[in-house]
Amino acid sequence: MGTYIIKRLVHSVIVLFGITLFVFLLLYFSGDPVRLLLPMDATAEQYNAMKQAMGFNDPFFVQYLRFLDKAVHLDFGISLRNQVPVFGLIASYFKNTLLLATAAFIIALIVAIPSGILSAIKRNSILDFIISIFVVLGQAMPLYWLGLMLILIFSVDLRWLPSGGFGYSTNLILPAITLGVFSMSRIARMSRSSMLEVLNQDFIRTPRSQGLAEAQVNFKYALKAAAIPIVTLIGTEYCILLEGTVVTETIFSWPGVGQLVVQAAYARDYPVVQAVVILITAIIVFFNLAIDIIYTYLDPRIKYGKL
Amino acid sequence: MSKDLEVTWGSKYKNLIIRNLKGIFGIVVLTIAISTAIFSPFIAPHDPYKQALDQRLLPPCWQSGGDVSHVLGTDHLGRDVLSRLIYGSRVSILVGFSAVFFPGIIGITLGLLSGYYSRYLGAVIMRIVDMFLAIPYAVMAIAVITAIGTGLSNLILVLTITRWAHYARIMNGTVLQIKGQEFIEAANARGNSTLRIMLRHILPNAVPPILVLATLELAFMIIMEATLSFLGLGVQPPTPTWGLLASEGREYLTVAWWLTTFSGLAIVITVLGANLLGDWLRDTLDPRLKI
Amino acid sequence: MHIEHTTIDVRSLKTYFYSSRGVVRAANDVCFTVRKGEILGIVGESGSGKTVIALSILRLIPYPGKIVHGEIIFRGENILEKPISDMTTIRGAGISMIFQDPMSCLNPVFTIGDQLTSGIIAHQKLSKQEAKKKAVEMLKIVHIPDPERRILSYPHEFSGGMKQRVMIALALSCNPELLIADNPTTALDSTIQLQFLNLVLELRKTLGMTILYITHDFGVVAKLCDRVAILYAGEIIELGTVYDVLTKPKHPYTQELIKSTPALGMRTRQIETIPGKQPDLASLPRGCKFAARCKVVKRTCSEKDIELIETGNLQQSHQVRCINYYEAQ
Repeated sequence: MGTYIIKRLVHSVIVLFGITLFVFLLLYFSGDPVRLLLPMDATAEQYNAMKQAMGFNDPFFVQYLRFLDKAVHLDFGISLRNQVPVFGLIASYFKNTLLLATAAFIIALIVAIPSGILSAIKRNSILDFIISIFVVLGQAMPLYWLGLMLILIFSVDLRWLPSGGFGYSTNLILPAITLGVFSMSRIARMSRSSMLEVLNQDFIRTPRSQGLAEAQVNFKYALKAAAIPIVTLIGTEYCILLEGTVVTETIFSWPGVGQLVVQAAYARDYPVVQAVVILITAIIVFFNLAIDIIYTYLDPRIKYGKL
Repeated sequence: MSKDLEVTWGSKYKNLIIRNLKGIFGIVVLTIAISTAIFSPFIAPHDPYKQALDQRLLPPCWQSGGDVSHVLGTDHLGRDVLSRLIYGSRVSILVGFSAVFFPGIIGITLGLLSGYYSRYLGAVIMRIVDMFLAIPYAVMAIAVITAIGTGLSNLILVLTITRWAHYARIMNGTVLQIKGQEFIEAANARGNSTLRIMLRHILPNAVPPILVLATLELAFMIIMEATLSFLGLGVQPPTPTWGLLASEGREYLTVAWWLTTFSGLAIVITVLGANLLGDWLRDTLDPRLKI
Repeated sequence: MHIEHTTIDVRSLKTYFYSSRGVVRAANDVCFTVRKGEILGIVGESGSGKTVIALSILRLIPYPGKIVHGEIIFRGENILEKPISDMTTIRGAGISMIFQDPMSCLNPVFTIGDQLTSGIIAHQKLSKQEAKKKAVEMLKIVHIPDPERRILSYPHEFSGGMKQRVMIALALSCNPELLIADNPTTALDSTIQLQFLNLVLELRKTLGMTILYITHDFGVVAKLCDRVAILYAGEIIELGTVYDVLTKPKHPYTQELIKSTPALGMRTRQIETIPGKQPDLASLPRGCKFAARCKVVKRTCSEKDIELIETGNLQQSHQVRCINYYEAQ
């Protein structure tokens, strides 16, 4: 088990190196890195001063290391738009994003996992068919459109819920549902295929042949075997959900990093975008690592030494 | 229980159609979408750029206040929604296919090379692939756009940079799998050049999984283009794209639902078609492929 | 046939699979009985429909299969006519089964103790403690060392041979009247096979088991079984005591089968020396299914379906599905 975790740890570190390198390279890719890090109206002197400070006359490798060093100390520079340190800016928005993502996640799990599992158990039934339709439609809908349609129905037509903003619990409902529904189809689909794969195994036939009731076979024996892959899959799903906050927060004016990064991108505020990319990737990488570790505890085959 | 069930297979043909329904639907939808894109000037009833400020925000023709000449209504500048929708398909289809073609070429080539020369070159390439696959996709796209700017060609560039790894991974896996099989050894023994082996033997076998991936990627890229354009980070106005139509309509959502709704429906149907086609291809070609 | 001495009576069983290839007639008019205390062997090549018969008895046929015809009389009732929910009382406690591949038959995320006791609790209504004790006893019976500790182990900690013993323990834990063993030793190597067979014989003696033993290995049948049924293309084509069938085989297929089995006591390999192959179960010919490969085939063989013909007497039945058998002697 130890080797498995170490391998995953090494992999995570490599990915983090990769993303910082990628982000750093992008600076050069844009043509003029110094330009990118300065507001539009910077003067020639500011340009040269920045150039000096960034050390653009140094070899590439040194610049990268300097960049990394700053990143590790959470110094991502100054936001071009409002002249405040980037990290502080992001940190205040971050908890809002986490709130939204977690709420959406819980909603999605509660609806999607039972749906997926049930549709696997009652394969080819009417229930399975209906759920499949929802899944298929859900995967074809762009997130922004889903959000706008929900606003249309619940805010404009029915006037039940506010169409945006922050501060009251009612503000959370529509965005959370939007983001949740976005995830639901994928989670349901993955739960279904995981469960189906288990149900086709020989070891499900054994308790049936022992005369155990279908309910026990499905909900005790099949479910636990299917739970492990489902758990890992939903871990990845949370990460996709985090990305979905970009659109959701924009539509609902939810003050989180998602909205922040879109506005920053539009205004070409590169320091902010850069920081968000690195931080979100870091969170996702560590989250996946945590899931992997949990996985090793859940599967007895790994826990007790075979793998 | 004492009488044999009559074995009827007249229902066999009905079954055939039902089982292939996904594929049929997908092909039909995509054909319509591509045709609409190509023949837009002939199909669209109006000029999508032509403004008519005295005819702003007309509802669809079946609602009161609507006009038959503007079947799906007009937008805030009096432009015909249906025409903009039709022309919008051009961008979606163009970007969709480009965002499959370019990353595909790069990914397939790199995947082929890394699979064939798997010891050193392959190891390096696959590590890079892993890195790209681990980076969350949306934020990566946004970062690249910030760096290089918005616009149609930049958008395609962004999508190329961020998606090639998926093709490389599949290609690499397929090559490794086929490489071990005997007919490759036989071809080698006969003295076929490396290039010839790659082209004649390996590539054809890689077609099924790549085809499935490409179809599903097409669907995803159409959504991505729309989403990025919606956020103002993709194709810029006044070019009509389905994503932009939705964002333009957003401001008028309270008074004019049709702007946003129809553009989204267009996406849903097209993407649905592509997704179903991809699923059908996967089921038909080899359901064991874990894509 | 004295009914009170018959454990199970299978009559005209037909099980078909409705697949995209067409209708696969896996079991076609299968008839046999298993008498109390005896071991009946069913021998056939792979693809002849052996497992399907076993699964049909327990009504575990997966979609797209269906039992379309026949009766299975067990404990005085036709179990094919009972509602499917009633099968949970019969499975495990009335009839139980051991499967072919022990490696995949045990749930990897549960301890074997859990898997053993769940059946015991379900059928015998014992408490968890009592069920655990019974499970340990069962492990002792199948000679698993250190059973109290092994109860808490997971399947991956056992070898193939031991897993198969666990399966026996599982199958016998609720004292079934009939045990069906479906090719239990194909996945094991020969020394383990031998141990397994000895275990089965021992259990038959100590517990008085009635066993339906399915295999492709004639050598095993000779060692183990009292009577044997030969299966070909979904039909029983010969049925009689092991002595009769081995010494006086009547069906041409049986004769070929015996000839191609190496000396008994050695491990058999897949029987492949009879030229040709079994017909496709999705497109069976009319008349005798063996006609295409038969050495003494006549034109009349393919005209209409052949019935089982009794060639023995009331005391010692020997049935054969061949109109030419006297020729084949």
